[in-house]
Amino acid sequence: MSQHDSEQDFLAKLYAQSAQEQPPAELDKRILQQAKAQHTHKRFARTLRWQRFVSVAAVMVLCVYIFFDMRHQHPVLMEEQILPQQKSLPEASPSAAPGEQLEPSEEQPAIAPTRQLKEQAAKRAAEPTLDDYAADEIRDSNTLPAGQDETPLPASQLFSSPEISAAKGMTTETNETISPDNLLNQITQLLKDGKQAEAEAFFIQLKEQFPDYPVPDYIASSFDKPEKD
Amino acid sequence: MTLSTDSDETLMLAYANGDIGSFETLYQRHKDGLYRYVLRQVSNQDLAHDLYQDCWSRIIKASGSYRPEAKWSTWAYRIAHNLVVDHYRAFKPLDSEAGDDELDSQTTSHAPDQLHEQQVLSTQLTHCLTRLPAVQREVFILTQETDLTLQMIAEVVAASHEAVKTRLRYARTALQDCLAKFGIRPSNTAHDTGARP
Repeated sequence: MSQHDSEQDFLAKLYAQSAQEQPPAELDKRILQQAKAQHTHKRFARTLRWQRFVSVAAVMVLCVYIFFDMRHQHPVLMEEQILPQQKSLPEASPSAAPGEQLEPSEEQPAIAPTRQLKEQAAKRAAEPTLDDYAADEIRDSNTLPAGQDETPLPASQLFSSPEISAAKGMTTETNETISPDNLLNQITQLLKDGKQAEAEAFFIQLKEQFPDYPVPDYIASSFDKPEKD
Repeated sequence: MTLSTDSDETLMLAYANGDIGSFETLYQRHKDGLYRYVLRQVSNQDLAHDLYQDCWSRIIKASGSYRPEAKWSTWAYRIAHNLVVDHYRAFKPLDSEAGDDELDSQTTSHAPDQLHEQQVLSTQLTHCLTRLPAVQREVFILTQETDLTLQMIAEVVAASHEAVKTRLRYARTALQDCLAKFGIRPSNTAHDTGARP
């Protein structure tokens, strides 16, 4: 071993003997507590970040679900709420005045535009089916007590009648045999008699079974009236 | 999991991932060396405690962004070095050394016949260390307290490898000269050369 190495060893041994200082136990404790606190804080922050993502995702899923649910159950309401400007635009073929509803105008085209008919059919898609109305008709004619007024039930009662589903099966075949001309005649007759609800039911039936059949505008416009209000 | 055999870098990464036990192991490994490094740099116990705690606080806070690109000891002692340098830049010059009068008074107060031999040696070495220039003292302490190579020490103290080598050589020479004043020489063993003649 050289002189230089022995000097280094000597200093190292001397230093090792002198290096006995240690941090106080209180300081150790404080530092370890700080390390634990930092660890807890980090874990909490990680959890918080994870929860935030889940919350945002849940809210988004809920919003999408509510939107589609509303659109499915209340399509007309959704159209009015979401597209108010489109609703307020003037229509391509204005309907006739109330007094002139049953008389066809020479200026107006005799056939309503296909687009308008499609819109009406879509709006009524969520309403009770034609079978329901037809079943109600049959039920009224069969079970109406003598002397009772033949005025059709309001729409809300029609929709909620428990006999509708029972009558459905009976009327399906009957409706299929009705021709569009007969339906139009019936609608015209009912409108003249002031039976708006029944006429509308047949009108919807006509639109569903014969969507391409040309309907006179004075008939089509008479069913646009409640929507414009 | 054998935490005691894991490297410092592995322990630090484990702590960053939430294993508090890894940090405790790491702390037990390095607390004494880091404490003595700070203590001998500032020669003031209260200040050393503050800087030592501040150093570990920085290590704890930086654990999340720690990347094992260098040896953990290099990184940790670099933090301590910066703290000491920042402190002296803010408050007083780094090379404030004890004068000869203070040395004489300390050696007088610790008479060899009143203290144990090793304590005398330790006191004399500590005193000689305080007389070293700060940059030389720092390099010498790092070589004694850590297993860092000269290149790593150069990274800690932000100096070149050659500069560190020179500082270390001057530090050893100065310490031997200082100890020689007390009659302590390398040729003598530690246990039989403690007392002044």
